Amino acid sequence: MTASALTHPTSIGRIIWPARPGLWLAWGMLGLLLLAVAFPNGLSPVDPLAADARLAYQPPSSTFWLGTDENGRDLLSRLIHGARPSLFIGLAATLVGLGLGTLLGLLAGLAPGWLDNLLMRAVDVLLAFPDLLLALVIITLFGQGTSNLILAVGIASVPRYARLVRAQTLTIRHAGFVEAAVTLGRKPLAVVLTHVLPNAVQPVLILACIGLGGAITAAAALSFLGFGAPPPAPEWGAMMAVARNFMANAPWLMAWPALAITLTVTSISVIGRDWLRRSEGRSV
Amino acid sequence: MSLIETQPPLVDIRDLRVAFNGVPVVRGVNLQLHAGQCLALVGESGSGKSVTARTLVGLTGPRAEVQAQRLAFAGQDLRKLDEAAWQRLRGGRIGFVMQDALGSLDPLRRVGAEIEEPLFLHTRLGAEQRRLQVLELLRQVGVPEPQVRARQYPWQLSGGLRQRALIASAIACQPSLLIADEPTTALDATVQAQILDLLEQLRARDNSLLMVSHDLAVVARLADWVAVMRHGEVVEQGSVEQILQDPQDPYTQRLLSAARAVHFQRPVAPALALVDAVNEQPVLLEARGLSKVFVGPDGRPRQVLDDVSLQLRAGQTLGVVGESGSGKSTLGRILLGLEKPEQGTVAFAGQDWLALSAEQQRQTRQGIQVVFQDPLASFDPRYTVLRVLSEALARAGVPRGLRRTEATALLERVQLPSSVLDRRPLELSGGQRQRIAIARALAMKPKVLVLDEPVSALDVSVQARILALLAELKAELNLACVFISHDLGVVEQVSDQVLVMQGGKVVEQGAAAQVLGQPRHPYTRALLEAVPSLPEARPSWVSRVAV
Repeated sequence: MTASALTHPTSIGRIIWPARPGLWLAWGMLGLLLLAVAFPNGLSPVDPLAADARLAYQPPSSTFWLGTDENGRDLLSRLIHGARPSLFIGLAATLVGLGLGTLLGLLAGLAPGWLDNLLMRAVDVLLAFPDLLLALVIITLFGQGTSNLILAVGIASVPRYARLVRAQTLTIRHAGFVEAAVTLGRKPLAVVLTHVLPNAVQPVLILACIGLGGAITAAAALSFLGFGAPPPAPEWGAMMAVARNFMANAPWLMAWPALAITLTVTSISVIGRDWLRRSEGRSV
Repeated sequence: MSLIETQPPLVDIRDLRVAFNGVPVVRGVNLQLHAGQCLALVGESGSGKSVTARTLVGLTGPRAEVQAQRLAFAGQDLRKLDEAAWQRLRGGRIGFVMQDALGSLDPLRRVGAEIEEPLFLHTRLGAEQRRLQVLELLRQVGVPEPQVRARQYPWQLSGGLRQRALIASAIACQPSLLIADEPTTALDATVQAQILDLLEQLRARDNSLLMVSHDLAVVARLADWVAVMRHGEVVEQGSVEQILQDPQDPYTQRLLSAARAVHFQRPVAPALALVDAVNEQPVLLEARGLSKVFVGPDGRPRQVLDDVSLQLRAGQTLGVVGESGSGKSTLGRILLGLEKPEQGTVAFAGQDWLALSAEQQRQTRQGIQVVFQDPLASFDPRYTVLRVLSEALARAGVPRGLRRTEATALLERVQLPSSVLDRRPLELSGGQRQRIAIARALAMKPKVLVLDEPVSALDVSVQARILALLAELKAELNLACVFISHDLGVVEQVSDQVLVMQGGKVVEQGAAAQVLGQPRHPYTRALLEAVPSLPEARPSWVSRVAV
């Protein structure tokens, strides 16, 4: 046989690396985060609130791996305990945005033209403001606090979800399977709930996963500006807000929470984008 | 023949093997195409015919592993080409026409620019010469008003004109070989006939042509040599006369008989007595004076239906024929109550169906069910077959515990094994999907079934089987059907009555044998003449003796 190959099959007899190391690192980071959320006390070496003025501003050492802050509290412990509120705010805000956005989008997609127009113009107005500015406006209106922070970040992300769900709904409401269900004589609401909603929401869930990173950043940014959790609580954004004052002599105070936020957001985005690629049937 | 064979073939393929991710799609294909001839690759979807054609232009994609003992075009070994050499070949010496003209033309570029591109890439013509050449090419492929058309975008052209433009871009550099992959599949019968005429003219000008098609009738007209492919192998090849009249391989024989079964044969006009006997049946569905106007994308209203009336009697099949845009699908949707007409009435079992409230309509919907053209789109992508059927059975009032048994019974009725119950429609073949769509419609025990192009997306042999199933069910359940199709062969086979539509109007209506056997309206005649013909099978001994 003199057959010759036009294209050579790749990577035979080489060491098998994980297909995408970045993806594995992202999952590893997410795993660590979830551990920190689930068992903060088991992981952290000391009490995050235990202040000791004599130990203030310790640089990273073998006793305090990441150093201490201005009140002598262990930074590692604070970071670990901070994972729960930081992630919770991001997740809750995303859920608020997703829920409201889906409802709006579904309504607009199914409603008669004039209502669709009305809802979507309202969404356009929201969309015209930058997310963070919108969140700030909402906080100024409703006041400070964790729950208002969640609402603010959540509402700011509504337009994105609403637009996508509406577009999906518009396609799906004329899909063959929806018309088939109508011809079977199912009630309109039943058709919407069993066929339109689940199919419209599916791609939005992926967007939400990517948006989760954004929500965490936004929440941290608002905390940094002082609109979030009150000072003693370990929250990444709030930690950064305090650290800002000591940038010159204790830069690690700022570095660690900033790194934690960056890694978290990057990991979640990487995982979300991988999910998106898979759902689009692209090779990874 | 002997004169041609002394020259080396233009295309020489020996033992071609293509695999995707280790799965073989083409397994050892041998083909030769001589200059000035037309070779047709025929086979059903998934037979590897398109992939074989694409290896000649190096467009099998990055994941394909291509091997061949010989893969030569005009004496040049294609196995050793690099990307730059491929680019010189494609569009220059080999032209490629794809099935989907809308998909193959860039929506943001004017048609003229699209045709000019190969000239720009492969010739040294100046801008003005290129422009003149584009107009000349458009004229050659029979596009009226080339100056106007060259400045339009693909979506502004009709399907037939788009296909012509695509052919013009493929022949722009006068390639030695033109490859046409299903060039007429997406087109209406009359347009298909025009495109085939054009390809025939090109062939008459000494172009070599490689045609890929699933339709034997299309091939019969153009090809000198036919290769029948199945599961990545050429099961039989020979001259077109030999393949059509004396096929040796059982698969070719089956393909041919399936094609003949759904192929249009002009019926003999019946005796009047027969027509009268049929009319004794009670009228189940009646539409009067239906009119419907849609507002087009350009904001101008378009009359989709204009004063359409029809009658459907119990146990009968009404075939609705027309080209795309004739309003036949809209008619079906109005009958189903999915669309409201501006004027006219629809009566179902004596009841004015459109005057009912939405809720009342919902209650009576069970009696009239639908099967769509694209079976995959008509199932919720998340659902298994069991869930699809259960949804219908639930509406029909079957209690939860009995649904699996009932679903199995339905599958049996459409001749599917119960093992498909837990699979998703996506994992099934086109024919199986359409059977499930029929099973779902039957779950409601309907009196009327509206079938909108139910076999258009299927291979010929599968078409024949689905039509046989429909005929069986119709007889068994005394179903009345509205059968919407652009395919006269299919309509002729299933219909008792036929309604011919053009531009939203009914141009001819009557007993199937009457309308199709002795068409009165010129449009019906044009439709009938456009159907490509498959030569009649001669008894096999005739050709053997001749040889």
